[in-house]
Amino acid sequence: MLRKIRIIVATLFFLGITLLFLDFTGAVHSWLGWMAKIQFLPAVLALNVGVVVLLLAITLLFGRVYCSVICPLGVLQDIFTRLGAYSKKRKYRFSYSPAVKWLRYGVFVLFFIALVAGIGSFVALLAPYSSYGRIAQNLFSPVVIAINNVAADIAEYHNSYAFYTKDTWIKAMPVFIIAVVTFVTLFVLAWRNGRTYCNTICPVGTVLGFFSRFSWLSPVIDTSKCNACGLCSKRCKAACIDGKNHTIDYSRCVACMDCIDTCTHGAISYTKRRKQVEPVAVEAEKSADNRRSFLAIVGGAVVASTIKAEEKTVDGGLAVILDKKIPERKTPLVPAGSQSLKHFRQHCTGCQLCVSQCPNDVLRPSTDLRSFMQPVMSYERGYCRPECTRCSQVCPAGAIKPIDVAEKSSISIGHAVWVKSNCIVLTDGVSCGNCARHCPSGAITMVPLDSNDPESLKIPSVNAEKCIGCGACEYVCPARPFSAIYVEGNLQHRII
Amino acid sequence: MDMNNKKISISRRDFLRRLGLGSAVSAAALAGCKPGEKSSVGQATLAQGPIPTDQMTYRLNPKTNEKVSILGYGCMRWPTVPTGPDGQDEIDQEMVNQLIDTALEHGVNYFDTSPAYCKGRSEKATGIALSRHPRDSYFIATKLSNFAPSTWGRKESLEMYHNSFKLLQVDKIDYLLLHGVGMSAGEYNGMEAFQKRYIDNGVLDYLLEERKAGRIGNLGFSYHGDIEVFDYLLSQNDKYNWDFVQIQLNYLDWKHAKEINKRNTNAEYLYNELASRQIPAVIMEPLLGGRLAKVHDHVAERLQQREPERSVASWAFRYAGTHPDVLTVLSGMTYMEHLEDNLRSFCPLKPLTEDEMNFLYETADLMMQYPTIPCNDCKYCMPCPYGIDIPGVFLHYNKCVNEGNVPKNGQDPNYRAARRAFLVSYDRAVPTLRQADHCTACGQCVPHCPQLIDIPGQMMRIDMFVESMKQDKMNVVDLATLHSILKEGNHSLAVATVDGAISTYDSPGVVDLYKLNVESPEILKGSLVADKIVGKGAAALMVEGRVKCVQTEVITREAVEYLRNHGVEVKYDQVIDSITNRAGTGLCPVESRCKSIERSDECLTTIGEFLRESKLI
Repeated sequence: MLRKIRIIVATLFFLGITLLFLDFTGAVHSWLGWMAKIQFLPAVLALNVGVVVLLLAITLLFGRVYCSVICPLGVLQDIFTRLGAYSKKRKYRFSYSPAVKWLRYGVFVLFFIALVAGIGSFVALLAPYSSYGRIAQNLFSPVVIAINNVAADIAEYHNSYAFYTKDTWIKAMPVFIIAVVTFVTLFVLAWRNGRTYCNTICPVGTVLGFFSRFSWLSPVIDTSKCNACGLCSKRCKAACIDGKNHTIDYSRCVACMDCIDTCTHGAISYTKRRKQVEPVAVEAEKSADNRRSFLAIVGGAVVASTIKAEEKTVDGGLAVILDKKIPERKTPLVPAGSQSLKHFRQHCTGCQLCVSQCPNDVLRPSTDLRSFMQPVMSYERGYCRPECTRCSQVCPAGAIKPIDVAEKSSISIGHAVWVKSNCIVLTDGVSCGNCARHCPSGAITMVPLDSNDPESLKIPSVNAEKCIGCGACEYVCPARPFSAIYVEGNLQHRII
Repeated sequence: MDMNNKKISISRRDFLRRLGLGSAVSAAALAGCKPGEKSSVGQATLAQGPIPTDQMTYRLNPKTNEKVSILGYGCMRWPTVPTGPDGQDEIDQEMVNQLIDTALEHGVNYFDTSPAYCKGRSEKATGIALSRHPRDSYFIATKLSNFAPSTWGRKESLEMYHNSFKLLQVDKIDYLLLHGVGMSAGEYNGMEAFQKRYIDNGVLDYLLEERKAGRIGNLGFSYHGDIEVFDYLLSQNDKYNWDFVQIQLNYLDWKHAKEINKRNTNAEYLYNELASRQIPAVIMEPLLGGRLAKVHDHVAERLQQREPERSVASWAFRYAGTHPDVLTVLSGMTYMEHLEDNLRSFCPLKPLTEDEMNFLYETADLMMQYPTIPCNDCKYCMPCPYGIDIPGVFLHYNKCVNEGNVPKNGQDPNYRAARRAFLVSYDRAVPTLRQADHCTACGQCVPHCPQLIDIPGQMMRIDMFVESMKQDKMNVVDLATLHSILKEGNHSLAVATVDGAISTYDSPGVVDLYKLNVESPEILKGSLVADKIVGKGAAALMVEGRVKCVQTEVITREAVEYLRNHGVEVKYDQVIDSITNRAGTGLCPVESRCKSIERSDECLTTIGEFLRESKLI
């Protein structure tokens, strides 16, 4: 019974959170957004005291039900474990093993140091919710978008506007590879040994495990009924039941209730417990930190020729449009609501929820070592549109604080910089002014190239004080592959 | 990282080779193929019975006594098959063969092409298909399409002319046209461009000789744009002896061409000028590139009610053919269905009665109420050097206008549905990087447009419309954008109404502001205004009209105060103390009269008196 309840609630949470990542229209967020906000680490980073206290209280009362129900990475592993139990024999494939304390606490100490020191990339690499977000964004989302695009084609054929096509591309190759490696590693671990990751690596599991030792309710073995058959140990995916000695390591028990249904003698029940003895260590696996090698595989530059301002001799045809390349920005761009690069770096868990939600293809995970996997903005495929505040609404970790449309229009996240040598006014000798036309804050004025001749071609002049850094100018700039005007980030966002 | 764009330019020859390669390959591949199955004309339209093959209406060329079919095949829109993701394609030669076979079988014998059509691949494809038939079964019309100033030399022009013989696989061109006479090119206006292309280099004299030698059957010109060139060429008819002239004629352009664009000329004038000189007219754009087929639902209903069994397009073709001095009506038929529909209209032609003609003129009046862009998808403007799909954007906009998916304001009852339909279908119709927002307004396309559309202006207008829909702010147009429209168009006043409609005005002083206050106060109410110079008088008129925001280049101190006191948001570049009169001898008369008046309604009356006194209104 308890197990069934656990499975039902876990399924609802898992589907809800997954939907948050997969729904690029942003429609479900108003309904399910809270599911991301009650995730442990984002709540800690958002200084969301209420949620943290609630989660700890739940753990103190019922054990690590968080890990079995709320954490999507935990549920994902349960799914893998279940897939591994394809036969009756496989169902009872586990065995008791003592906790790997040095690894468990070692990782936690490193994690804690990284958290305090603001090394966001390390935090994001280990945090379970971030890992799941990465997997959902990089592996699940493209599949859903592909299905959507097929639906959009069908809709187009029937002249319906129910679906629209959405671009999908690998936003950052190293992050994609990490997502794949995490997915495969977890699959192998869960397939073979159940919750190994949760009980050796996961820092949230370690913290909650500390509290769950003292939980009010927990599975308790009634030694009078137990015949030490060891079936519960073979069924325990957390490997925490020492059936022979009638003991359970409650720091590792994720309160999945599988053992209760398994015991043929009804010796295990979910109840208050008496004094307990502590078990001890074995080995575990370690997910390698391969960042450095991934960083070497930064997207290869595509060099192609262009038909630039070619004289027209025949009718029709489309000029080739070169893909834009990302300009080198001294200060990375982070969304309005982040307050400052520092605040953003310290609070972001790299869960990719904002990346999956960005409707303008602006946000993508960073490949820079200092902010690895945390999102950055760039404007080759779109710009940070004035009517959109979605990233600020979805961020569960408080890295991007909620803002409204009016506030957004007055927050300067960066300033535009004109690159004279790329401007088509000079390279092609034509009039343009597309940047000025699209500037929402009137920060760009077109001034004569020759100050003595007011009739001469006009070039843009940026008033950095008025610029909000939205990137409209960079996006619509006709110069390719590098725009002739690009946005440089502001370390500290300011109100203009 | 090297952040400089390397200027990668390729020579024109490379460019042409690149374009040509695709077609050459396809032609080679297809030449070996068997001609496709004979098309099953009639079977597809059983409800209407087969199309007769011996009923085509013919017109007699009065000069050569050639019997020309009233339906001419325009070879500007041959079907293509895509070969790449980004608009790369090649001509579907097999389909072209089928289309031409069907056309000939039903009596079509006039084929009109040009070295420029279909990215320069039309002549070759047409030649391949036609050369499979006896030479005396068809007339070939092609053109000297040297639009680019680099091809204006004698050598280049003659090269183009001789190349047409090769590609079309003929030793005589039955109808040769000077292409697009009257269009401007670069810095040259219509007349100058004509001089440079045909007179100064002696090309026209050469062509006259060719006609004498019999290698050109009929010599004429196709006309767009500057009416001065048309009139000049007809006045020189004794010298050149034009055998025919190609003009744009349809029931919308008959009386409305000038209204659609003041630089255009009504077809009524063009046709009558030719008829009075007994010069046969070849008709292009009888359907306005499909715009007279894809009409607004209300218009379609009206036409269909009258002839439920015939297509909307058939009206346009019958209209063009009804004029007796028309030699042939060209139609660029891409699809077999279009060809079949047109064959029905012309096998034989049932001329319109006077009553039906009037019905069409009334329909044209109705059409003028829908703000479509007069783009006929001829693609002369393409390729845009910055990759914009110009006809794609315009066609999509027109489609939405005709389907009622261009909401006027946020209060429209179907605003939500229309907004989604417009935005979703915009992305489907045109890739985002080729949409209106990427138009640089460089203006290189403008001289190429035979319909004289202000392409950058329309692009900006559509962009602004799309932007307001995306931001879901139908009643707010960006003030800066409005101001840039004022500057780009060198207008004296630009107004954006609450529902996003933008209008510009060009009268001097405060005339337009006064008129708007008196005649159409609803335009000013809650609007955004861009102006050049604002004094107390103009400020009072804006306050009286309840303008929301104003941006101006120059403003007087007094006006800034006045506007701010009355709750009008004001932005300006420069503040001055006062505005002087034209002679510079004293205060501007409007300013001096309004100086001591505080109330805006009194200022309005005073300004009205002054304008009437000085005969400005």
